[in-house]
Amino acid sequence: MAYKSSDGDNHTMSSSTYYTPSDNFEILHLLSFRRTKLHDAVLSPAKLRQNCSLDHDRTTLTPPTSSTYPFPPGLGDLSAFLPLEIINEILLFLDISSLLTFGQTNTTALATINALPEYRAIITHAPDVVRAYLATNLSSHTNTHQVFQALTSKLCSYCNSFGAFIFLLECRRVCWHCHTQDPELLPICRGLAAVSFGVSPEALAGLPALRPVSGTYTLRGIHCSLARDPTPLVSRAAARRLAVKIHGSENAVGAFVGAQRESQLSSYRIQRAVFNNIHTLPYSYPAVNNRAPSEPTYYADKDNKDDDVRRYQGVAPLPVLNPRTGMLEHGVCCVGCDVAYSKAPTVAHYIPFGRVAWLRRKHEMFGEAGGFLEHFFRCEQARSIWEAWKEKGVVVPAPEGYGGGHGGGIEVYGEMLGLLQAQLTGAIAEGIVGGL
Amino acid sequence: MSEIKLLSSDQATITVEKSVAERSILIKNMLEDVGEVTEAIPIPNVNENVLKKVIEWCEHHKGDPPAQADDDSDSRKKSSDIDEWDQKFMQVDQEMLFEIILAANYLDIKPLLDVGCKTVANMIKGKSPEEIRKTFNIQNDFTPEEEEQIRRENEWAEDR
Repeated sequence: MAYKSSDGDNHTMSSSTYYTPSDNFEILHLLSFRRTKLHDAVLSPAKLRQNCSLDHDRTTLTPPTSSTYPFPPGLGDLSAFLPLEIINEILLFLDISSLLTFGQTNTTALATINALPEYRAIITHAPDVVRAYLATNLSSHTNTHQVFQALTSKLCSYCNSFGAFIFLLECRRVCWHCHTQDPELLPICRGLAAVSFGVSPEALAGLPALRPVSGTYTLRGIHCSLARDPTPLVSRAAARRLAVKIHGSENAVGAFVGAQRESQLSSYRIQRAVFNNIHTLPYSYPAVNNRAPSEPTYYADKDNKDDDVRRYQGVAPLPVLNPRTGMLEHGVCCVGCDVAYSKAPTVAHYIPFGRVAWLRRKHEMFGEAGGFLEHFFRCEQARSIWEAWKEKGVVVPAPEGYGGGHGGGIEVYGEMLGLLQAQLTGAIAEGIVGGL
Repeated sequence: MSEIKLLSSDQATITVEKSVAERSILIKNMLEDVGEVTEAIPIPNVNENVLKKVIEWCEHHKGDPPAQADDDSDSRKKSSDIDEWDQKFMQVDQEMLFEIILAANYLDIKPLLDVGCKTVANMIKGKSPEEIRKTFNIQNDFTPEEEEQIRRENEWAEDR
């Protein structure tokens, strides 16, 4: 990784030799932090844990191995005929709900699912995802293998940047930006899906539907308490796939929806014409309703983007698991970026990028293993903080100190950096500094 | 179109097209290793009935594109739906179903193994623990309290 500076002062430091491995560690330690606010804005881990214990401490039961399998009481006909490898294959085809039910049949079954490598990885590293699936009533639509695939993927499947969340309806990894902005990732109710894609509500009944859970969502902390039977939400992508299957092609769907809208509008035009005709007469009929017919509303999906609660109800945090090393990355934000994009934005802040791009930069996450360092070399802000720190030889303060407001944090000097520091202490107060 | 002979565990000889038999990776590799064979290839783990059933499947699926080695394994797991012919094919008693799975595993016919596993998975899906126990003669060794506790742990308790 070559160090390149835009203002041409790279003669003061030669590329990779300047950053030793211990420097890399310090960079990560000093300039990255976990923005836990983001995790609390979606299906929050705390709530998930509180309402679903999913206590798999029962793994103390000896997991079956080839030598002990089948130990009593066994799995009945399954273990009488099939070796463990094939039973594991079968279990991988089960959805989460059925897998858990299978585990309830007896101790051997429970030990078998707990020893299933894919399930074990999920339950060890991301039990909250299983909880989220149980909470949203999607557990019978997603199988363990899919969740494992999502857990071990690293990049957002919509934009290929580092993603630390899972979009439950499609069981795909997403990043914060796509999850809050991508129009495809807004779950909608069946009625809206029926109108937008021209399919009958009956046909939509078969789609996986997310049951919203009450709680506090979005970064602004919008509280959402729900009725006994909250309106289920479906994925737009799934509704579109269904519509394409029914109508034949994407164009046919568009044509059908357009025609439906047109017939609505034409009947409205007639009503309107009649109304106008009556009310332009010199006298009015007292019996006639005086209200003009209003244009039928087009059920355009009202999408509040990053303030839309629906977006947050179907997303849960998902760390990245490297299946080979067993290393887990939760995703960290850059202190430098946070300083640059932290303060309450005025229009002037947005001007260079626009609001969405500004938000994207602010909330961008990186993997602890390498991803963050790569960003560091591109991030001037982070580098300037690091260089100032290096030059003045300030001791790395303990991570706890970062949350302490004034007095804690990185001591940096110089006109510009002094200003940065003031912002920095405020910025890091909201998260825990330090990567590993 | 050359034909080869297979010898089942109960000493029955079955003649089958070479291209059909080569759906089995085991037989394919074997034929590649030994070249032309005239005598019957012994399949010691599979009896005649099961072998016939497996060959029936291979014949129906001989036109299928060969499975790609690695990148296929991802999409393979995604869908649990089985095509209609396979569903009918798998309407056999439980013992036969398990025998087919074992034979597919032994003969290394991945798509057939998957169909078999999916069929068994579908026998588990959407059932209650008691129904699953009945289906596979699984003996329950939980106390009622334990069972209730596990059930509750696996549930979402919405606070109202």
